[in-house]
Amino acid sequence: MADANINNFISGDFLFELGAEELPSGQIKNIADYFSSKLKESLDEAQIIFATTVVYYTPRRITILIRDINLEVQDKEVEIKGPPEKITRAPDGKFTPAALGFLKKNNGEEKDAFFKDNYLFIKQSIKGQNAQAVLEKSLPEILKNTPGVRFMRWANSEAKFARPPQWMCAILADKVLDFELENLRSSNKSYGHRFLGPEEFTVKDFDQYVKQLEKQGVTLDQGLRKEKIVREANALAKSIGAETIYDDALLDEISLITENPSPVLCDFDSRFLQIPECVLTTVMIQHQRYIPLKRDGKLIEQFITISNNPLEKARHNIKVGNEKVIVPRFKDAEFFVHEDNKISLDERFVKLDRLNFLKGSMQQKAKRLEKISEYIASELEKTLSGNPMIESKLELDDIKRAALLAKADLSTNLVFEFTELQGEIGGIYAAKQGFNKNIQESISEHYLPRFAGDKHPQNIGGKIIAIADKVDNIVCSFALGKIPSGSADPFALRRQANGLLEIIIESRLIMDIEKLIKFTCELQEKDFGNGDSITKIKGRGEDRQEVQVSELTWQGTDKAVIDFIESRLEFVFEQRHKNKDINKSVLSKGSALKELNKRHMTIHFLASISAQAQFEKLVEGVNRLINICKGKEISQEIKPELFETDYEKEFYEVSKKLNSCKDQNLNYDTVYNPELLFSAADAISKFFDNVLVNSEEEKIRLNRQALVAYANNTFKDLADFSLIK
Amino acid sequence: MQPYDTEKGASTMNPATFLRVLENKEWNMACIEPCRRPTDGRYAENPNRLQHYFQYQVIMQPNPHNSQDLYLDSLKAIGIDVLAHDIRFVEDNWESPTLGAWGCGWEVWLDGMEITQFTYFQQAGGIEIKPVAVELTYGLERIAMYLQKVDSVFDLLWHEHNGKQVFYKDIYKRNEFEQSTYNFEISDVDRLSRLYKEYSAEAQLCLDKFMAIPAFDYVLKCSHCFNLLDARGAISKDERQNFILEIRSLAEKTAKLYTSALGTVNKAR
Repeated sequence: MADANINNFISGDFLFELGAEELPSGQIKNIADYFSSKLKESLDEAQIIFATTVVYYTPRRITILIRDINLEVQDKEVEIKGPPEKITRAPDGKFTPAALGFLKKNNGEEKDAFFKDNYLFIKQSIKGQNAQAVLEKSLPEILKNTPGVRFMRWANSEAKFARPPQWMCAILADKVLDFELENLRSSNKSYGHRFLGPEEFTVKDFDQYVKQLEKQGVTLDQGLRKEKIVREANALAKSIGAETIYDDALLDEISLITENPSPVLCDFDSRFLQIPECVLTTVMIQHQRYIPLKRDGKLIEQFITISNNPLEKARHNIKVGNEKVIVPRFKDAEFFVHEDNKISLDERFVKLDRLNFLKGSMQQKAKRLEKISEYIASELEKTLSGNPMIESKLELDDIKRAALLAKADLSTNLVFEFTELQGEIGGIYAAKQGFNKNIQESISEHYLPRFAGDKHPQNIGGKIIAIADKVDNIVCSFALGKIPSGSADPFALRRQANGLLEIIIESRLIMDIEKLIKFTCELQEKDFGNGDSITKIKGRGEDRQEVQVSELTWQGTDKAVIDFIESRLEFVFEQRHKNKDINKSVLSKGSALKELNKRHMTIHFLASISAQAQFEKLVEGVNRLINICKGKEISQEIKPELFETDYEKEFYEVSKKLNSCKDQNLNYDTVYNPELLFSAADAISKFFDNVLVNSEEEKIRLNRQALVAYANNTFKDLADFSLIK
Repeated sequence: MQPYDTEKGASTMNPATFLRVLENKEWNMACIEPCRRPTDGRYAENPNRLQHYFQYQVIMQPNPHNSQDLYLDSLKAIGIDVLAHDIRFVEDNWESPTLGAWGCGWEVWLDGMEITQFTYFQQAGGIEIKPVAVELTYGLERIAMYLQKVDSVFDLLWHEHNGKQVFYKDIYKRNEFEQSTYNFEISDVDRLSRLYKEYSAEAQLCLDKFMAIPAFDYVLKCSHCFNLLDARGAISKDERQNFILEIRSLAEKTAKLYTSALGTVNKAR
């Protein structure tokens, strides 16, 4: 209820700070937002008005500030609406049982009841609630019921929380709230930075609280901490002529594990720059939360660590300490590279028979990847030359080689230690062994995109193998019965399906995905057959029985995979074109996987003209066609000689033009053009305005119906316009 | 207390931790514990990676409200000025899949280096721990490297008497080299697999005879065998999962027996 006119009330600010042992950085914001929304809910429920809420958080505290809470207790008159008058008032004027029931339900008496606007109402006065009492009652409940992953108990606690709470500071205007959680009691005391200013202090109001925290070494506002990190890290990098490497996730995390972020510049031995850059940055960012530095686009032998201690006397220790930490990690990586280099990728391919895939060995999988990639390549070959999105040439031998070696890096020490770098490591080793650029890139990129919004493979080989890998994973999971349901998707098949579709859409690859799925199913069936016989339990209680089933099912798997991947299409297109109606109108006729590029081009085309004024007219016109044809079977041929007006002729001409577009091979540019479509819209509206379809003369009527049906079918091929609003 | 005399990957596997916290009573202990992690060996070539090292293990059950302050005081007591370093509690939820145990807590970082694992124990052997125990596991070599300001663990001064000095390398360097070589290159996979089976059968025998503590000894033996096989790269991903499940199942049965009436009857003797 942040909208009320607060000037009429005596109001005060509410400040709540939960102090805790260092909270997990990934959960702090969720907890803070939960506190804030639950507190708002409690106040709203009690009909207590307030102005704004703000949340602040550090690793050791979550602070909620609610401004201008109404402190006055006010009773309120409300009118509650009941059933209609006609069923609540009997002909003799008395209340019917329905009316009495309504009164009883609301604890109302007959004297409070009245009729207004043909409805029964009762007047009620609601006892106002005291804000302090409401907060004291709701806070312990909110704290105890905070949802979160991997929450813990502590000492003898019944409650669970992210980490043990240490103190609770809660003040409303000038009053200290009094409530308990486990063995903690609320107060008006807070504490500063763990080392810089741990002393207890008394909180009077928000401004004094923020200032006092600052004095005791804590910057409360997470946004300010993040800004400080960026500003100071960049300045430090600039001072040595370098640039920082970071992403937002890293900055967010650092700002959530420091109360007083202070950058320190550190060095390492430049010999470690021999190690692949992705390994170095992964160690620095993922393992140590350091900010790596680059100069002229290349990593340099320095990095920035963000400490939580700005004191001058700590600077040297922090520098030396962090430098010492990175050495064994880099040495480890160096050792792994050294060991890995003893075995070539070809030898590693042979070793893949000892590594398991979902079913069968990784070697089998690699061989399948080769075949599926070859299949995709041959499908694409005919249409690839005109594709504006593809720069590299399709070299079949390179693709087959890369597919076969794509999984070879799984047996390297580096990938064992840095799983997230699989593929990329393979690409680096391929380069070292002198494989050409196509092969390097294809191996390196074939896991992309790894998450929503991740980059796509650039090399055509990388794209093809990425598609092959994903379709192979999905098919095998489905055959094994490991199918995503609800929120459970342990093999991230939805993400993989999205990735596969995104690559095909983005790169405008012209291929029949249904055929690809069927091809993959056949290959796997050849590789695995029905697998082992496994025992499954069916039914419960007395119906419970053990049945023997085969491990893999091929009956209907292709269809299930097609449906599954098709079901991801709307989501994928929504990420590209916000206009959901248009996406749906083009996808709704089914079988989109057979001609995905065509659908994509159509969606793209319709979305591009949807903002123009004539588009609405077009939608309206086509919907008139749809409505007239609804439920009718029209098989009559059009006889142009029966046209009586120019409107019919014009409408027919433009429809024919449109219809011829449909048969043209739709590749990299839509053959529809806006002028043609809008002239059709014009022709439709002129036709309906001037021509009566239901002519009294039967042959004229049938001929006009045939014309409408013809146009309708033509548009149907483009999209289902009835879905566009 | 004194350490336990069987190979273990972490001091949590000392029965004075793993089994005692299941008793759900007040229990406070501390001891130095030698640990072995075959895969971490680096032939004495890495300045702080070892396949054999020492932990200082502290258990406080129930955890005191000021556990963190007590811990920081212990650092001060051994000469670490908390204002002259960057000390951080970095989220780390400890989990031992082979022991069916997990907890919430942190790695404690001293200027970026992990020096202690700080865990609020929630479960061991699949059994809830109530009241919650806090486990502090200090990495002794790393802390000593700080105090002595040396870059390599092998340069740590172990003892000094009448001007004669004994260093870490004098005691453990050859050990690291030979054990790494054994773990990675020499151990006999077939024999270790057989040993594993024998140990697991012995654990089961103890369980069948309601002897939880000897059973636990053999669970530890199984775990070490598994680690040795792992270091040889002899375990595929699927097999790995099977090993883990099997050892966990033994650990859970042991924990259950230890806390059951049949197990505790031995206490009265």
